[in-house]
Amino acid sequence: MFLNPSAVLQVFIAGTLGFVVAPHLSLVSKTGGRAMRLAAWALALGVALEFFAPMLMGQLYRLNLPFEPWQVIAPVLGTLFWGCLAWSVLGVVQSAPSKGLQ
Amino acid sequence: MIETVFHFLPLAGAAAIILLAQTQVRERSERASLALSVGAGLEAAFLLARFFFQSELLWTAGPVVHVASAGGVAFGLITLVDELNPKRPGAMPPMLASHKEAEPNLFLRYFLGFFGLMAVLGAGLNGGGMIRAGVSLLAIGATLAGSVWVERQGPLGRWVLERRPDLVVWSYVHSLRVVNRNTGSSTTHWSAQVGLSTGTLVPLPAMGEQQAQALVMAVMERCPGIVLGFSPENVAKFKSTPEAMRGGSTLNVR
Repeated sequence: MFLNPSAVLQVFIAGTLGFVVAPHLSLVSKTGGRAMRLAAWALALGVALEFFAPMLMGQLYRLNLPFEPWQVIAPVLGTLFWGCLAWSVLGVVQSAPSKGLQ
Repeated sequence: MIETVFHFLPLAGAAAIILLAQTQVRERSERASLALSVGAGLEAAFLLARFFFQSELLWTAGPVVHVASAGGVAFGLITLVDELNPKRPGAMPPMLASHKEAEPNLFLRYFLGFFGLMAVLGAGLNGGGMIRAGVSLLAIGATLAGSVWVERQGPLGRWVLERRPDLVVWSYVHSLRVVNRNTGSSTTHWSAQVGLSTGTLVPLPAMGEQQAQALVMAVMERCPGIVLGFSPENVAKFKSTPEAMRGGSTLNVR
């Protein structure tokens, strides 16, 4: 894992979103901060599954499923990541009325 | 077939961000709307391109694209939060205006960056491709620079007191005693804790007990009507209904 640049990059992005961006959003929107932390967890879970759980992935591959497991798990985690980012945008938007309403 | 369906699933999330940026964010902040749309659009375009063109170049560029798209969305969100909450008129109490927090922890970033560099070089030397390794290095550098930029926007405590003093509902002096088991020596870290109606606690670090108490008083001056002092009742209230805490002050700031 430590020789995989992709894993290192994902850990860096997850850390930045979870520990730096999320606290900033939490100040004005509880939902925004939580959703951003969840997005960071989705990234971290992807790294954990891909690089720290080869046994689990091996078991999945041995099941002879009609699809390649990682080709399904990765997009689901990607959807969770982008969905959480969208949720966090919604949280921040809802924390303040629009200029027209002010 | 099923892999193809799942490949396009993240497009839904990216499309939702673009939709929100154009319908909800644009009227509030043009800049934030643009950053959010570009960030999410970049990821959506990359997903489509990777499906239709099986190119080595796309695979190599992947890390930079992911960082640029996630960075665009994060930049858009921070810009949106800043523009929705402009600085409030009225001077900050001098104690708060001059209060400085620690600089961003660059040592931790250099330390992590070193491991990132080793990982990238190791992967490149072990046949992972030096170009891909270089691109990953660039992406890691951009991520580190982005995190430092966010922290340089200012300490969170001062940000909230300058822009949203109405969110502050509770403040108290907090001390944390750390004992070294080997030497028996102990260090006490003092701070003024600021509780927000969003349920978030923001610390304002202090040099000692007196400075922490002065900070709590300065917070009360900036945000009159907040609850002061630590007690199990206040903790329970803050955990259950923080927004209902405004209105009652006590003199015991501890």
